[in-house]
Amino acid sequence: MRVKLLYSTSLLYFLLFSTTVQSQLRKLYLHPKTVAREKQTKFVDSLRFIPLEIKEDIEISNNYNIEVTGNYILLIDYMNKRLLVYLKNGKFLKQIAYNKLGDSFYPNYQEVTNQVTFFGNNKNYSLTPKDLVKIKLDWNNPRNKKYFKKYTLNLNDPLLTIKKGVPAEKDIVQVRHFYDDYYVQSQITVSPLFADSVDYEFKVYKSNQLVKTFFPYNRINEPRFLYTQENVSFNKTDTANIHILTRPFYDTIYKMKGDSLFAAYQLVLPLENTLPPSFYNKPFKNKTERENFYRNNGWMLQQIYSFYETPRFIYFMVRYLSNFDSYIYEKQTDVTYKTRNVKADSSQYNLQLFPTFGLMRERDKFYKSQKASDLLDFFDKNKNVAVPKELEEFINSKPPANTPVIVEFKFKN
Amino acid sequence: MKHTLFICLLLFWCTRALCQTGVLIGSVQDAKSKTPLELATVSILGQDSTLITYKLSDKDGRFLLEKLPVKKRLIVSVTYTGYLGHYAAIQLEPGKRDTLNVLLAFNNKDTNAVVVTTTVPIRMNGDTLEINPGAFKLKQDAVVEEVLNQVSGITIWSDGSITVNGKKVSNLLVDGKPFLGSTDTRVATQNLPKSAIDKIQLYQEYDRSNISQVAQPQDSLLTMNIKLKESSKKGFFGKAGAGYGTTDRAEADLSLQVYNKTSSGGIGGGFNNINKNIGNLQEMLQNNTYRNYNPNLYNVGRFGASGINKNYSIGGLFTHSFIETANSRQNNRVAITYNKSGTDTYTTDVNLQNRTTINNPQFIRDDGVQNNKGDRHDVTINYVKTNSYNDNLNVNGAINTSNDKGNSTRFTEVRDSANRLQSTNSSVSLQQRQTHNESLNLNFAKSDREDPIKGFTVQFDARQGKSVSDRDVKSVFQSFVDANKNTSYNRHYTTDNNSKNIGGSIDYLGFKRLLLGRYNLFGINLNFTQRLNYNSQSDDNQVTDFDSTVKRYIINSRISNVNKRELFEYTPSLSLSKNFNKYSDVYYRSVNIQLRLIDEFKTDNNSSTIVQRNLDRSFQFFRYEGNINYNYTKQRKYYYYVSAGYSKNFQYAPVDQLYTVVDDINVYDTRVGNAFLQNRINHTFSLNSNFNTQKPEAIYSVNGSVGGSYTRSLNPVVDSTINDPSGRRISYHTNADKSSNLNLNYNFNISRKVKKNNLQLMYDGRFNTYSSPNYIDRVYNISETRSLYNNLTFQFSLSSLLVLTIGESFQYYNTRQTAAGLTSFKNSNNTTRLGAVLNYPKNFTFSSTLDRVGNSNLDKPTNLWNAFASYRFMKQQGELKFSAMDILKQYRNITNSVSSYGTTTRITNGLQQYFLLTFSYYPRKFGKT
Repeated sequence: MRVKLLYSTSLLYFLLFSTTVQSQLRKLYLHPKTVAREKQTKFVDSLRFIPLEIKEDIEISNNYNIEVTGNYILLIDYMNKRLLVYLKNGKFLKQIAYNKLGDSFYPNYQEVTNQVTFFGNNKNYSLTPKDLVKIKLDWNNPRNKKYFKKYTLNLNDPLLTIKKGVPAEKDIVQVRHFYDDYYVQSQITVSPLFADSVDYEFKVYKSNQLVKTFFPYNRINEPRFLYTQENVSFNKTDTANIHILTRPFYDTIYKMKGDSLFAAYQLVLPLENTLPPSFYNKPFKNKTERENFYRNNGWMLQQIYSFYETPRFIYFMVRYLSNFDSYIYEKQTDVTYKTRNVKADSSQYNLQLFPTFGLMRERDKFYKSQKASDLLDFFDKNKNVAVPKELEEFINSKPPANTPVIVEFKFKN
Repeated sequence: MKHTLFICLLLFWCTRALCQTGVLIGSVQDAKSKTPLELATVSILGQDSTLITYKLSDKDGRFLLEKLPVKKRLIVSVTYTGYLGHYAAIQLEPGKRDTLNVLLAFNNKDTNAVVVTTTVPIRMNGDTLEINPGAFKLKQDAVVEEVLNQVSGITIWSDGSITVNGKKVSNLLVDGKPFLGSTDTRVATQNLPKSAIDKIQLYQEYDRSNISQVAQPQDSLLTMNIKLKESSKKGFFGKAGAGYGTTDRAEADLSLQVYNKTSSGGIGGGFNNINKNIGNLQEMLQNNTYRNYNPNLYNVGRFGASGINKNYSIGGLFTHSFIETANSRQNNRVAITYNKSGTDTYTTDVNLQNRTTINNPQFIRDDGVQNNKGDRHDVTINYVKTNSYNDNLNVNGAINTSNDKGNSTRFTEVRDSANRLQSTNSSVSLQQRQTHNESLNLNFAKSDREDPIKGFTVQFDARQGKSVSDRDVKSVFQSFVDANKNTSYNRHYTTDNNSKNIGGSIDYLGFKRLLLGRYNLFGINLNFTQRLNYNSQSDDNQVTDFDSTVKRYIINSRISNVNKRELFEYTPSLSLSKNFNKYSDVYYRSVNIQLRLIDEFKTDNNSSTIVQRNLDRSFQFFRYEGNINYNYTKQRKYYYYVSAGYSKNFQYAPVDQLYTVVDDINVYDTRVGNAFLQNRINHTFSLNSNFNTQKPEAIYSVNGSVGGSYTRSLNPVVDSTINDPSGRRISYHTNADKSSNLNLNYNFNISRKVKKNNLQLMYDGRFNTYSSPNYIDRVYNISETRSLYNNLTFQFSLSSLLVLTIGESFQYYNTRQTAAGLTSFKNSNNTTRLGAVLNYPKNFTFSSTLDRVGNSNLDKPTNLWNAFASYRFMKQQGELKFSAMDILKQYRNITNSVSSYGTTTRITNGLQQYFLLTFSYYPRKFGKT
């Protein structure tokens, strides 16, 4: 009897526990055509300005990206292929041009080494996707190293010069740092060139040893990934060792604590934005057929990116098959706002802080570059509004209209 | 020209008068936070809710609306998605500025589950500009062209072309497909009613004809796609009209077109004896559209055409799409057309020619009367299949047959500079000719960036033709200088020609990959092209002369011949190209350099019954060409493109220049061959450029282009002409050291929108100069000929009420000789054109054209004044039109031309004054509308 009672209690406990686990998968309802509007002040506070030292040939561009490192603020000017290095107080340090490296080289900041790496194809060679698979399969063949070039900029080195490096296995097979001494490989490639059909969308390595795999797929002919190349996206959270994972063509948002993974949210879209079951099991005949499917179903979900959660809000981007949008979800009201419909107001100096591209997050802080003229205009028209202390000197110096200013902000807590 | 200036001043005054308008400025803000609302739509509506104009607020929420009607009650509508709309009535005073600051309240009833639809007139959706016809309030029967005319940034030019922010619309599609198989925009834009349209989309599309080349920005085509409403995916429209007038002038037109989601069909036909060109089915469909706002005033009896022509045509077309997609990326469609047409022409002409000879310029008058009658049948088929922008299959087939009969009489007299008659020639000819031609053309292109080794383009074409003709010529030449040179011929020609051509080329896009593997060769692109061509031409020319003594035709063995020419060509070529691009937020620029090395192998075999003409020749020409292109785009400002090129090629003399079959019946132009002609070498330099503004908010739209080429030829084949005093000429082919030819063409267009009114200035011109050595009466000479043409058109449209056009064209010809004793000549003509269309009162259209034609060979100019009045009734589907043509009864057909030896003025008969009453019915139904 005691055994039966124990068994029944255990069963009840497990059932209750599993229901609790199930109920943790919160549903985020999103209509891509949402017209809900709000003012920016509802979401954002703790605005702080980092005025950058005025330099004649440095003008803001829509294609600036920001990286905030231990000591520096890096502005990446993609159009002019240069890296602008500032100290954290905004003092200009150096301009580093990388246009001579080649068309396929883009700076990539790696926190673990405090280095900016430029890794790309050697412009003397033209590589097809098939070539890349062949090279990856034979990555340790020394002859294959000539197809790539690697340059590094060590931010610990006060000279801040780009130095030629040697492409390593991690670069070629695109392994990225995860946390501590863990690395991950998240690129998904399907090709008949692979001999073994089993692969995983997300693989965790420790000291070159594969320690954990997630989401198996057939790397020879998985219908979802035929004629395309995808990645599992992972983002840091405010808590160390907790990451957010999102998969291509899936609406589930996963949380990873250490090396254990669980589903955290599900993005629920209208039926018309949901991929049909045939997408997952009926293979496309060729790349053209896939492209035509994307074109004819442009608002179906492809992947969720940049998922960031605060106690009140969730910020995320959604890539549809032929479109792109970013959203803020208000947990309390279950309302989703398109960031394009979030309007700046005078309490935040009329600055629109949610651009389509170029918003950078480091822990709980977001960074965006802004034109000096936006601030000058505002303070010119609103003389009664006090100029923030950190901006006073900058505004008084009458900077050229296109001088960049960094705006740092947080989501309201 | 004085008239032109006067009209310009008049139009300027009208424009000034229209400037008595009002201005509205203001701002849009959030009612609670006072946040400026950017991109709020501020619309000004008339009392009947017609959209007068609209603007989007700027980043500070401000707006400025100018040129608004004054002393008139207007409605201001301010809308912003998610907010409650604001509506207010205003009345503006001239010269005063009104201010309207609007505070919009947030619409709390909206939730993320509610989707609000607004009728925004125009918006960007990704890379596509979308126009919502529903936002423009126009009359019930308004067509697409009238909607486009309301959209800022879009200009419909008076020649029918459409530009968007300065860039020309190259493709017009309806639901992703060419409408009724037509490449002309008018069939869709002047027939489809606004009520049948869901939206009009504008986007850039890759030009598939450039698959083998590295993509360049200038290769993309601006495409306009008209999306039909689901309820209007099938419909029909057309026109049936007939008219009769004085001097038995008559016209009848018929067009009926039906369409559904996948298929369309049409029939078209007509008859007229007013020189109206109706030979081509597509042209029939283009010229018989529904729109009457700015009718093409020149699609009427053609007074400029030679002779009196009775034309008829009847034909049909069928198109079918095997897939239902509404995007232009995927195509699988076929278009078949059949057309039967014919013409019956009566022409009388007088040609007055000045001709230089050493110390004795000649004046030639040539009078002729011709009767010609012809019928032809044309069948075409076009099949297109594409799955993406990386592949393209295009097959074109055509068959045509024709049967022509005619007779002519000509009388020519040659006088010297003292007006003494030197010789006369009278000829009578009777001819008939049947032709049958077939052609097939296939293009297939496939590129694959992932597997470049599989990329190639193939082009194949095959043609064959047959022509049989008979001609009887009686020609009598009488010399008043030397009676021994008098001749008389009664000659019969029977000709049987057969021709075949089979050719093809393969451009292997994977050549670089195959040759160099993964090596990129400094980014230089390599294309290896092979072209093969076989051409065969068989001619059986039998010539007989009537022998009056034996009363029968005797074969002329000197001229009669059977000739067969076979030409085999193999042309491998290698092209190298490299691109340099640079771009930023505000500009994009690219340089493209191409070099092409070509080796031409030719085997030319000629067999003939004339012994000397049996020739077997082989040639190898190594030649090269290159060009450099530069284009620069300043985003939302302007675009320009410059291209410079050089090419070298060779030409060898054909057998007809080496061993010419000399027919001395043409006493005034007898040609003799030269067996020692050398190959000609041409060096050609070309330059092309174009410019257009791309400012969406600008009221001016400007575009222009300049193109030209200069060719310097070494060893050109020229004439050595011997003129005898009676006017007989014998021309011998010979080589000169060099000749040169310069061509320039240019155009400049500017349009200004003032609300719904539009001013357009179009200017185009061309200049040609040719310098060629020759021998005239054994004296070395260089003939320099020049021609210049300039055309200026100015059009003013006052909404859809009034369209005024004024234009001036000027043509100048000049020929100059360097040798002493030779004479230089020049002539010129100019035409001043006035046109007006008045769409008032309702359902009535009055229009008129006046052409004033001057010619340096005429004492005073002639005037052609036409006027039209039309009335639409039967729910806008019936039209009664009265045409009064050549009201002043002055018109004469006169044209000028120039050659190395002199100038010619040609005067022909043509239409004379007539009045015509036409009734037309426009059946139309678009789904349920």
